[in-house]
Amino acid sequence: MRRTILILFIFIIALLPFLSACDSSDVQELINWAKLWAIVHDITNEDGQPNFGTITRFTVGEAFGVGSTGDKEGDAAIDSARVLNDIRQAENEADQGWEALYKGQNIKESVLPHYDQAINLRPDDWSYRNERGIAQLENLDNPDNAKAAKADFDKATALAKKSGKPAEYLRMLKNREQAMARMVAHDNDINAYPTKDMYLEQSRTYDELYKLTNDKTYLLLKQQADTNLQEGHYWQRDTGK
Amino acid sequence: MTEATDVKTKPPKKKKRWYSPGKIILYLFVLIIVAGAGLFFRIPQKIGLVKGPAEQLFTITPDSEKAAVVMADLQAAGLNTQGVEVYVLPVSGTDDNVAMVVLDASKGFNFNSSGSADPVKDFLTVAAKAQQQGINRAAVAYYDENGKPLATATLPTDAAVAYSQGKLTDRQLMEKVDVGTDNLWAFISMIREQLK
Repeated sequence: MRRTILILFIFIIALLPFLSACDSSDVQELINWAKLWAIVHDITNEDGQPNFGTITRFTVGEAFGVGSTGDKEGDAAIDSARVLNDIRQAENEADQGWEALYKGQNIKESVLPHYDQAINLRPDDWSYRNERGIAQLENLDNPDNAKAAKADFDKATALAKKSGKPAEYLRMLKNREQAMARMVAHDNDINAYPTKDMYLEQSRTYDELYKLTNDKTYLLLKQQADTNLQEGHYWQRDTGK
Repeated sequence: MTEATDVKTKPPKKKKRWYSPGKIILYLFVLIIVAGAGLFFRIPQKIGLVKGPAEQLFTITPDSEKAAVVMADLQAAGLNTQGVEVYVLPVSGTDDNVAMVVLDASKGFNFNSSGSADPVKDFLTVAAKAQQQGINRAAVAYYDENGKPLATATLPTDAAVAYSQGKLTDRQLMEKVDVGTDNLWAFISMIREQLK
């Protein structure tokens, strides 16, 4: 058992008297489950008396983090604090980046730094590469924006393929497609045009999704993006269209 | 006789050996203390020398669609989801997924207003349902009012399914549950704070 006994020792001995004073029935139920857990794991006996032998035996394992649940995923779930922290921070950064993009703030100064930070925290997460790539597509101030976007999308693709799961690649493409669709819809809502690069990437992504899934919806969406391109319903650098 | 013969020469100083038994024991003692302190404060993990199990397994992008389904199930079970976040973490190199339910008191979560008569049973119902999403393990991580992670409880979802089908007793279920923390001192501090 990993890091359990000492905690439960503390929990049962110290926390329960406090919690027992709570009126809430859901907390009482929680206490009952915790008591049962402690009995089952030999931390206390049926009368609630602590088993110091068990506690002592496992305290060292808890303190030095050398114990195990006997299951890799169980260990990972219990040790997930740092990973969860990174995920939560990265999500927060990405949300701020997306919000700044929606508000039309300067992409280089107010959008990209958030995604850079998210990617720094979660380098193997393709979703932040997709979103930063989309921000790049919208960044007409950068003459190399399409190149920068492609680098992000290529990396996202490589990360998804690295997992070795075809479903992961499909999930990544759908994430990119949905994020681009949200951006285009937002541009339309504020009576602005998406960029030409955005429609080009949409067309490519829908095409790939159609090939992978044979879902005709994607074919129709690709045709729509192509029509927008043909009819010039987009912003382009220096044209001011 | 000359005077020189009377001069007493100092005996040559014994060269101190670094490997005397006493010193070796001292060095070993210091080494054990340093190694123990390093392990205790998780220095190898903090400086990136050693990756913990979570850092090895949870590298893939969280599955937000599955997370949304689990969140909807939590709401359908009648749980107050203020301060609750759900992350479904695909396990690298497998088709497994772990659902992490974060209960964050700093964002408004409170057991006293969880909206449930028995939050554990409600969670088990949701965990059993989550198996249909390809989630084979569920965990609850509690964060304190300062947003610090305190404790995590986890169980395989097949245990939750077996329990919901009456194939496991309460005791048998609890045997499958593991609890732990990565922040023991924060956990102890919280208890001290509560006991004041």
